[in-house]
Amino acid sequence: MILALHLPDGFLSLERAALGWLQAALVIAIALRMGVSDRQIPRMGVIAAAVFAAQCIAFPIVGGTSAHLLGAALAAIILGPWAAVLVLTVVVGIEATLLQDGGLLAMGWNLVNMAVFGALLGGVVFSALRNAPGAFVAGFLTAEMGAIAAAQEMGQTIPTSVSLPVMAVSHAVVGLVEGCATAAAFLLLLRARPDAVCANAPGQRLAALIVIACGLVVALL
Amino acid sequence: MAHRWSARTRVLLVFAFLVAVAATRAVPTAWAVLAGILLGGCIAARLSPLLILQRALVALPFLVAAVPLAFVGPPGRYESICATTVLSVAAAAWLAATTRFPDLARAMAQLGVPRVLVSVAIMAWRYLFVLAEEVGRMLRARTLRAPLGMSPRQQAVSAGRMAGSLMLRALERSERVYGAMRLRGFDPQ
Repeated sequence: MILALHLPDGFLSLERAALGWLQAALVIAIALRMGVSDRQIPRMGVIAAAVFAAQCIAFPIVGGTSAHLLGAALAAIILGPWAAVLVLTVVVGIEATLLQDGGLLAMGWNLVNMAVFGALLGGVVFSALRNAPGAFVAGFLTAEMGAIAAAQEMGQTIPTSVSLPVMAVSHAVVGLVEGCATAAAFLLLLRARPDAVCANAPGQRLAALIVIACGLVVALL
Repeated sequence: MAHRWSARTRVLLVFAFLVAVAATRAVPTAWAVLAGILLGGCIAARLSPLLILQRALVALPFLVAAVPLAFVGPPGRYESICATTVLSVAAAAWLAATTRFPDLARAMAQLGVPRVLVSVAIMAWRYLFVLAEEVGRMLRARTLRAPLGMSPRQQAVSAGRMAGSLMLRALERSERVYGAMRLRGFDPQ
């Protein structure tokens, strides 16, 4: 069984879906303004394809279950948080429209989970440390926070008293693997091509503020 | 008939359908009507309804996870979730089955999705299959080197190194792509 994170349609009320889309639209609009130039389009496009492809790398976890790499933190390490937001937006969008992995109305929340608690959170954590432990923590937190947020968002239909502990514990394991993998990928990049690791991207404080704001919205659901 | 509608019309229809599904979560008669509309859509597009239903099974893990609700939740809640989820996923599957990606991207641009996002999506779609094949080769190479009995930590590190070198290859490819685009007159602003 593969642990899926993207919320399907049918689990959320219309109002809640709209709240997710509102946040996602704001974050994407900000990311578009944070200095994304045409020059970066090929780079973002090919990295988006690579994030997709990296999700084919599955690894077994305890008891016959398996998980796959998420790649959000890795994308943020290479592209910086803002370009990574756009890359993850494209990945989530293609998954929802062409693979039906994640709903279209629920996509707002899936974007919050992957772009905010993935790309932005991973980018902020990594650029605070800029070393292998930083990459590990970024990978761990993106998996863990995305899962906790997903459980909280579905609280309308599946009571959080059940889903929250299950998601938090299972994704702590996923997060350990994601963290190790992100750190290993970072070290490889650093050795093979140090310039592939994003230098200090602008707007770190804004990114941190957005993560906190979205975190508060999710916590108050 | 449905295949003659523009992609933009189809996208709007599917979103309207999804909103209708979400708005009538507690009305069983509405589910039947909406299922009928979807069936009509399949026939109009000459698609097998079974194929669409099969694609809708993607949401199955979530429905399994929600099974406890059938016993502890308010009566009818679980049935409502199953019906709305299957209807919504089937509608999205209908859109995917009737619309080619370039048409979908054009429809998104017409509907006001920012140009940068659409360009990134088109490029991601173009290289998705190239890089997926690359990952397939990497995984096969790893299997051939027979790393049986790797510890979980070693597995994670090996997955990470693969992801890292995949990213490197992707970056290098994107540089070649960018160079080719410049040579053909692409003018970044």
